[in-house]
This record gives sequence, C-alpha cells and structure tokens, in this order.
Amino acid sequence: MDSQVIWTLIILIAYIAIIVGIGLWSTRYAIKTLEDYAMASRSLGFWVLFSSVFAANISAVTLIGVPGNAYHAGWILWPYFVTAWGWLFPILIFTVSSRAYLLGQRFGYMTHCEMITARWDSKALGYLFSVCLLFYTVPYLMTGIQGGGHTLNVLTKGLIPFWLGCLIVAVIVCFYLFVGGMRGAAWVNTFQAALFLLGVIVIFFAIAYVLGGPAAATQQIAVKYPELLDRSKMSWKVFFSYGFFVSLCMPALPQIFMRLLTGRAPRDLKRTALIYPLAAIIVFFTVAYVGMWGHVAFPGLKGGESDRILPLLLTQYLPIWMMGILGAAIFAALMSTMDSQVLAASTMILRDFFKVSKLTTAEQQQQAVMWARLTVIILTVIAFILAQLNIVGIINIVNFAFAGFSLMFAPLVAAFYWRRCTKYAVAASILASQATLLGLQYGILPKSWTFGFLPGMPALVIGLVVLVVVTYLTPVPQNEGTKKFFELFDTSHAPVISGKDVVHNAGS
Amino acid sequence: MSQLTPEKRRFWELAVYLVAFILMIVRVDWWWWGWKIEPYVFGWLTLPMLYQVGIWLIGWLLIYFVVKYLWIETK
Repeated sequence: MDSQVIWTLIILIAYIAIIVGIGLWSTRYAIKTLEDYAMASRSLGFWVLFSSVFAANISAVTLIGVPGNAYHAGWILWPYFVTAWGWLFPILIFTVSSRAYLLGQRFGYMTHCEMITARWDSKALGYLFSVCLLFYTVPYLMTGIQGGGHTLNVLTKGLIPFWLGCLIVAVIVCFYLFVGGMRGAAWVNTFQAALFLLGVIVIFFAIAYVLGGPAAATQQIAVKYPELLDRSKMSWKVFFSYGFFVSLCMPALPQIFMRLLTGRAPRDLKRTALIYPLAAIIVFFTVAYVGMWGHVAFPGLKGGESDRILPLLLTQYLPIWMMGILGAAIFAALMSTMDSQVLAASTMILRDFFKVSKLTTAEQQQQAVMWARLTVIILTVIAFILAQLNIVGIINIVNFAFAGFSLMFAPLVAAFYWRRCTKYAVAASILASQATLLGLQYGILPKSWTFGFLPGMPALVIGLVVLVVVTYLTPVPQNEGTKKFFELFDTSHAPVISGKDVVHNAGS
Repeated sequence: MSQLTPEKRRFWELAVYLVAFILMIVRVDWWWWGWKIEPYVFGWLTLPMLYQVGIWLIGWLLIYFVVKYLWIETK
C-alpha cells in the first residue's frame, strides 16, 4: 500500500470518526417526536442553519464537476452558478421561505405538499406536487452514493472497490441520520461546511503557489488556451438559461425548503441570506480557477477525464496528505447533500402520503419517529441498489432535475402571493410545463422549440402562461385554506408584494 | 427607511425584483462573449471577470437592502 493510500485512509477514518461522534452527541438533545426528528424542533441557530442549508447545496458535483468542466470551458464556470444562484436564492429566501416559515410556525407544516394541500384544500394537488418533487429527488440520492463509491475507489487506487465505497457512504449517512435526525445532520453539516470551505481555500492558494501564482498560470492559459478565457466554449444562451434554473429551483428543492423551516427565529433566516453569497463565491471561484489552471499542468484530458483534475494536481504538486484533505472535503460535500435529501424524502413520504401528522399522542409520536428511521434506511437501500444497477434512464433525470424543480417555482409563489390563483391553474401549469420539459428532453417535441436555450426555458414560459390563463378561466377560490393563509400573511410582518395583501403595520 | 409604510415597502419590493430581473439579463455580457480579452488586472483578471464580480456584488447589495429595510421580523 503506498503512502497516498495510507494518508487518505487515515484522514478519511478521522473524518468518519468525527461525524459519527457528532451524530451520537446530538442524540443527547433528542426528543422522541417527528417534529424533533425531522425538523430539530425548529430550533436551529444561525450558524447551524446557514451551514446545513449551504452544505445541502454543495455536492460532489461542485468539487469534482465544476473544476472538471472549468478545465474544458474556463473561468465562466463560477459565474455560471454564482452570479445568479449566489445572490438570487437569498432573495428568494425572503420571497418564499419567509412566508413558508410563518406557515410552518403557525400550523406545523413541514413539506411543500402540506402547504399546497392546505392552501387550496386539495389533496390531489398536494400529491401531484409531492410526486414531481420526489421524481427529481430520488435519482440524486443514487448519484450521491455513486460519487462516494467512485471517489473512494480513485483515492485508494482501487483498494476499496466501487460497491464497497458506495456501501461505506450509505452506511455512514444512514447512521447519523438514524441516530440524530435533522439535528444530527445539521450539526454534522456545520462541520462539513467548515471543512470544504477551508479545504477549497487551502487548495486554491496551494495550487496557485506551485504554478507560479495566479498571474503566471493565467498568462499561460492566455497564450496556449485562449478559448478558456474568451468563453467561446459555452453558449451565452445556455449561460442565460441555467442562471434561471439554478436559482428558481432552490425554493422547490425539498431539502432546502424544509431546512429553512428549522430556524429558531426569522433573524436566523435573514443572516443566512446575508452570508450565503459570500460562501457561494468562495467555493465556486476557487474550484473553477484551479480547474482552468489545471489545463496548463495536465493538457489533453478528454471529456469526463477532466473530473480527475483536482486529484491530479494535488498528487503532482502537493504533499501526499493533501489528498486526504481533498477526499474528506469531497466526502463532506456529497454526504451533506445526500443526508438532506434522504431526510427530506423520508419526511415527505411519511407526512404527505401516510399522513403521520395525525398521530398526536406521545406513543404515536414515538412510532412516527420509528417509521421515519425505517424510511431513511429503506430509501438509502433503494439508492444503494440503484447505484449498483447504474440505470442510464435514471442518471439522465439528474441532468435536467434543476429545470424540473424550477418549474415548481411559479405555482409555489402563487400559493403564497396570489389569492386569485386556482388549484386548476396550478395543476394545469405543473402538468403542461413538466410535459414540455420531458418532451423536449427526450426528443418527443422538436428541439428547435428551444431556440438554442436549455429545454427548461420554454417549459418555464409555458407553465407561467398556463398558470395565468387558467386562473382567469376558473372561478375565484373561496376555500378556507386561502382565507387562512392570507389572514396570516396580512396580520404578520411578511413581505407585502401582493396588492391586496398589503400589511397594515405602519410604523413597524 | 426602517419606518417604511406598507405602500412604500411594496414599492421598494417591486424595485428590488425589477433590479433582480435586470441583473439576471445583463449578467450575460453578450457584447464581450467570445472576444479575446487579455488579463490585464493583476495579470490574471480580465474585464469580463470583473464584470461578473460586479454583478455578484450588486446582487449582494440587493440582499443587504432587503434584509436591512424590507424584511420585517415576525413577532
């Protein structure tokens, strides 16, 4: 066994020991209710809330895929995410999550489905919402496990086979979710977020130093590979489209939506929104430049080979133990995303389809927690099996999942802001937009309909048009849920964008 | 600003969303797209790179404005 493998294993074992320890420690504060298991009793303070939301967003794709793509397309990979999602998502925390937070605090809602069902008194609409979200979430779980398997396999130079790597990742995530639920996951995420933030900064400066500094590295790029600086490898239409998807999908991602309901106070949401762009630019700026500079050191990598650029740079230029740091950072990123998705999917299945919210006694609540833990195990096992089968159809869903989630944005905003909007309009909008996306993605509809933009763009426009048109073709909703929602918004200090919803709180 | 009436707050919220929409459009600097521009700033930053940093910064200022003046904490 060579020294790289030994160092990698030592650091990874230390990393695993720490997160298992944090998971176990969190059980000291556990209460046996689903509210505590799935939402940490809505008691997370600012740092833990911010870290858990940010860590849920940063996946292995960020640390492997972004430098890998920057190798081929250049520095544009960081603005691809950061100059849209980096600041627009925090604004959407104000737009969507501040109202969802109010509803969660007042009525105990945890999921999108519960809020949609209550807003229009329509179980069918809630189910439709939930099914769409699960359709895009479950494949992600699978790719998370696959990412872990591949990473362990590469870092240990084949000592740990792919299936065993997948199993190790699945067991660890399952363990700290099983014992600690949301609190355990959020505390672990705090450690993980610190680890990969620190990790990317260290890697950026270390690689820049060994390549002769940012100027020397970039000058070589300018001479040998000018296409990495002039952005000719990426269409501006793709850049434009993706900015909308990657931002608008955020409030619809179940793991993000639910985590933003776990804050102790609105102040924690505000602080999270404020600090988020800084963390976003640190991570993406650093990994994108390192990926681009890697082209000078390792020219000629084809296609997906460039995903190895970070490990290649580290093994070539830096002390061998740095590989262990990178491995731990990658693991932190992929596990943090995976745990949030497993917990969110488990909560959705139990609350949306099995209606465990109706269980109220202490004994019933303990049963609900047991069911939640069991669902976590079942979901992880399913994801593990799918990861081994490597079904191409499922992997393809991940490629347009952000677009799929972003199509749920307009109905979600309508639920919180548009009193006139009807359940028929929301259902029609979801069905029309999702059908358009799938039709374009799988070649059922002609590709020319996209006009060079990503397929989600026309789907987004169609969904919006259908939402507006069908709303005005159907009767004004007079249900209790609509009144309940807007009475709460009207009497609270929520955002006041909707004309008829103006809050009469002058002097506040 | 912290004493905004609901009507004024509504106006400023609309302004924020309008600026956000404009930012989402102009972040695509298609007038420089595909042009060869030398990294003159510190030897490694080009003008389009700084432009993107500027978009991010304006976006952050927008969030600061929202958090400071528009987002009222519920009691």
